[in-house]
Amino acid sequence: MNGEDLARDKAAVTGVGCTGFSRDSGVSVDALALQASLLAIRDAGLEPSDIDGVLTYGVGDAAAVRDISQALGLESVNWYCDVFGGGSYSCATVAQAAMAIATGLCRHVLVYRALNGRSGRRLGRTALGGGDAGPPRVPGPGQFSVPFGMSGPVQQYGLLARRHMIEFGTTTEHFGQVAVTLRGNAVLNPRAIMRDPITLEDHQASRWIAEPLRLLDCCQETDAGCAIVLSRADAARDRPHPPVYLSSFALGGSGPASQPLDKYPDFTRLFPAHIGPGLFGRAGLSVSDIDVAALYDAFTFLVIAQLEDFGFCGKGEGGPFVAGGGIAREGAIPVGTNGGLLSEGYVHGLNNLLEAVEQLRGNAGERQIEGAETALATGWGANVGSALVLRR
Amino acid sequence: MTVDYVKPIPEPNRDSRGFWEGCRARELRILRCRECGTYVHQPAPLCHACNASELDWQRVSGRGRVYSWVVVHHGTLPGFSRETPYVVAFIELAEQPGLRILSNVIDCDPSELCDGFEVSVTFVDAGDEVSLPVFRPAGAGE
Ligand SMILES: [Zn+2]
Repeated sequence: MNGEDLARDKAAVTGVGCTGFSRDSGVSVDALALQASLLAIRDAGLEPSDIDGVLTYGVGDAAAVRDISQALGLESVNWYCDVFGGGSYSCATVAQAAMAIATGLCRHVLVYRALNGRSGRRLGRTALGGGDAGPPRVPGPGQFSVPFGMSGPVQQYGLLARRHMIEFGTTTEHFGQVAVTLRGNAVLNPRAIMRDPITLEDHQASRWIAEPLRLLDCCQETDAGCAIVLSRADAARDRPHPPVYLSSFALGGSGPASQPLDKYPDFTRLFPAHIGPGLFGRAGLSVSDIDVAALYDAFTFLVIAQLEDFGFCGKGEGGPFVAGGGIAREGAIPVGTNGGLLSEGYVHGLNNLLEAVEQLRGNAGERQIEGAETALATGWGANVGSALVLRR
Repeated sequence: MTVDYVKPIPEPNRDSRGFWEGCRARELRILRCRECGTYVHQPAPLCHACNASELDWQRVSGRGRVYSWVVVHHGTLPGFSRETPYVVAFIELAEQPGLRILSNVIDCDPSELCDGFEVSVTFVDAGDEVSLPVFRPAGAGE
């Protein structure tokens, strides 16, 4: 019922790399992508000529595979893809790389994501025409949302969060507990953009963006690049770092579209409810076996929703679970040990996956969760999303 | 085109044109499946309940209840930054459980909104070509 385990542990992360995280990188997106990619390739003990697969994802703001492959001087590529998509594709693009390996196509695959998310093209600022030509015209599904002032994810998640508050009594203070916990983790992370501790009072004093979400419920617009190298299991063992295996993965949910939400039946039952059982089943694990969770946290509410729908806590209990310390470093399931997208920075989710790898390698420094052997990493957090189960 | 209107406007396509034509005529029209009677929004070429492809535009009552909402305090779209705070809400239409449409709730203090808050449709012109369906507290009159 959980499908065959054909892909389990067939691919492993052998290299990771990232640039510094900033508000203004001062360089091009291609430069960020190349810097991160070279670091990841060398971290794996490889040369660019060893890479035979290349993937990235983005929403028109990414470094193209064509340009990065040429600049790296790759000799021969068997699979590549420029995925058009946002956070859902962070783990999914890595999963696609794992499939290219499991099918025998590729031996060492590079996955990167770079963006000048603050100084360049900012997410949630819909690129619209208009001006002298009259008001901007919105085609596609956006024609039913953008003309009403719905511009991006913060409002979308605000709508989901509100429904959760209605049905389960979740509060803005619960959201605040997520922000405070992850900021506390970022204090331990020299890479993080936001390293000053915050209190619940700070959170409650921060301004509304899309009520019920406040400024401190939102992630950090960031300029940075992240990359990983995925290798075939038999080529992953004699590398500089212990391999981190991909035990299972999924990209799915209820209907393969994150927007519009118009047809989405239950705003409180999100993608993990659909993919979670199969994901853990194919990995041969259960949710209680997961040691650290790199949950996609573009907004605080997503953490609460995913905790519930993966089964880390009961339905509707995510708020109290967080308030009771459930996601803290010493809690039942440490979440966002790097500070997450909320405080480390927002590299469209890929930076959270890097943290999961570092935790499983055991080289997360001050942030290390002792004895971490398995991790869950996720991408996005609405009616669709992607996820990976990793093990050392 | 009224030069003052700077906010984004819909660009109808072959699936959605009937919806926007209805709004221009001050009627909220939703696709309805000829086979099973299911209302379908956003418009699509197939009924998601039975996959029949025969759907007709049908005028609905325009009455509904607020299912979820946000109060937007930080507006980045053209023309919206000067209107904050404004309410973006999913309205569940009276005709069918789960039949929801995204819109604005106007003429209402956002602090009065609650789950199930009763609203009814009205229309605002967005330039000379398009009218948008928005919602007001029920009983506020047309
Ligand atoms: Zn039907």
